[in-house]
Amino acid sequence: MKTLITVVFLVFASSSYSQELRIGVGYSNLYSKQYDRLIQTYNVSRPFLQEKQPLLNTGIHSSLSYLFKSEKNLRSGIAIDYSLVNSKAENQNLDLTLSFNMFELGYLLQYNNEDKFGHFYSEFGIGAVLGILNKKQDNEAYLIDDKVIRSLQIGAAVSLNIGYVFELKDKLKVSPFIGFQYAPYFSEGQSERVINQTINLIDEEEQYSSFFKFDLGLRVYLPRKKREKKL
Amino acid sequence: MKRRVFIEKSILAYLGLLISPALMAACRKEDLLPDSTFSGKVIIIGAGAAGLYAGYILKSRGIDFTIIEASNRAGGRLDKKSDFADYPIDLGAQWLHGRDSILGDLAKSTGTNISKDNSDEVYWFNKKISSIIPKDVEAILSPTDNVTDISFLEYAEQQGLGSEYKYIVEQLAGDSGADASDLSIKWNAVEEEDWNSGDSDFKFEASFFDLIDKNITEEIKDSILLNTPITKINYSGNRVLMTDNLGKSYTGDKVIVTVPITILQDKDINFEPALPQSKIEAFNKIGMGAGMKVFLKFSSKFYNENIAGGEICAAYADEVVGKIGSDNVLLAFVMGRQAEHLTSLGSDEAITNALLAELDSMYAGQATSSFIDAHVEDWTTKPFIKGAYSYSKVGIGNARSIAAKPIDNKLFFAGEAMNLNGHHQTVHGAIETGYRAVINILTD
Repeated sequence: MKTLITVVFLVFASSSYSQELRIGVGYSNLYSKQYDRLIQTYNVSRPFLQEKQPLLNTGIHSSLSYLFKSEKNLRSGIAIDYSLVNSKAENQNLDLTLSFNMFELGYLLQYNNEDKFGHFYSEFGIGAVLGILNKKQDNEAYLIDDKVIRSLQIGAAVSLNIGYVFELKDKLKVSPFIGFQYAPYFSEGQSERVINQTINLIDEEEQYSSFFKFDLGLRVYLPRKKREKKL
Repeated sequence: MKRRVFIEKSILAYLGLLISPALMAACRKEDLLPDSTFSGKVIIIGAGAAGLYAGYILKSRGIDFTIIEASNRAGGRLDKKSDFADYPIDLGAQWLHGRDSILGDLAKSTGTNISKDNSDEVYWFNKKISSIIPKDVEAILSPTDNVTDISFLEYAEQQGLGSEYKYIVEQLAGDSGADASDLSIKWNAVEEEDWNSGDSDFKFEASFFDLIDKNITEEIKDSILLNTPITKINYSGNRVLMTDNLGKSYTGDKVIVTVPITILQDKDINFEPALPQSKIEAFNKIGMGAGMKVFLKFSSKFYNENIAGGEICAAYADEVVGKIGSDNVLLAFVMGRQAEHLTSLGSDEAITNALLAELDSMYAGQATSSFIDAHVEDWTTKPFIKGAYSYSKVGIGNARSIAAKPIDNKLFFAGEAMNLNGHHQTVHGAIETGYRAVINILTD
């Protein structure tokens, strides 16, 4: 991981001319079979709760990406993404919030053939993803014996984004996009403990699992002044 | 296409995409079993915590079920007595072991008052009451990783705990429902590794029994058949046929057996065809020792909140802790061979006298002089319970997992002894197996 960060940083630092810096925000839709099953088990087992715990499904994401200059149709870049997917149920004396935080650091390749596709572009990304599942009861961190209990996942991610760039005035560009991400991950095996307060109750908790994420959002290309080369 | 038209169409497409994830989300259900096609009848044998909770879940799913209970009451090893002191006493399970469990959620959501049991402990050591003892006996609860499958008692001796510590070690083993010479130091530690409900014990201001009775039993009371000991289960056909002690038959498509492990060990229920030999062996590898609770009421509080190390009873506890009331009640929590010995005395009076004599020796005769009343609850002599709760006997290995395995997708096993995730011996552990069985039935 350290090596990856160093390489990315060096690439970033050595080519800081005429690149494009983008920030993006949007909506995320998560599909995790593992979390779905655990939340469903939680709901089945607690008929005394009036409001069912929603699945970890919808959330927001933000990203910061940097595209390096290229004369070709294919450009490379790096991206940092953060997504947050929440599930909250408010019951009498028992409010429960589950939050799944995902951090991704990735490398991306953008294909943009203006002659054929105009301002449409597509991006393929690969990266490393870190997921943290948190739980709050009555707006307080979930503690067992005064220790915060959370579940960590670490894995890889591949993504595909498709967007369209609108050029506004003063070089400001915006781009609505849709993205699909698949992330197989290794789990430390605490998810069932966090969600359902059990361990391996129905089946042994999967150590290797994956999630699928659908993103929809808007990127803003930050206008950058071209640096004057000193004589 | 003109630029403006294109932009308009793009915006429309974008709005469409905004809606589509919401539609995708709507297709996924919060319910685990939305498409379950099971519409048969479920028979639950035993109205203890596991059986009651299995019924409670089935009712919430609209599935036909009947709970058949051998005794004349529902609750299993949960029971209470309201007229002994000026607060109700739990005759069976009384501590919520950790709040981070399904029962912690139930207590919280129903506004049930519980409080952490922070009571102090003293030791009866070398014929004296002492607040500290020379060696840390509790260290044996965290044995080394390479410990072999030996008993608590043997391990304690290996750790240099001499005979003066014997009954303090018995008190630790008694917490696990066992005699120290039977409880496996290795498997007890292995099974407890999965424990995830929290280490603190909590007491109910009212009673543990009430939590289950008012919130679970009350919801399904019309589906409980009392005074009906099932003696035979024939699962050879498509449907399971059960017969009670009077020869009356009952049929169900699925059966959840939730009786205590002693009932299965003693073959009080005859299975046809016979259960696999591996399963019978697994039942027998799970320990369940004798258990008794004796409540002693006194005119004055001469005793400490917890006393460990008695030769007659290794664990005494002040019953008023966590309660709203003023009556002085001391609980004698008697497990294993100590309970067997007291049972062998033959009468409640003899049991009470034995305990009073021990307390007199500890507190200079104050027990007998301030004694008012006693209630003896001997769980070992109850014909449909026959003991306290399961423990990890030397040699248990993976017996719980074999014992809990369903048979022919018709017979399902639940109850605290069938809990595989470290919560055996507890009410919430029993409840977890109750809903596990229902999920297994409905997701087939």
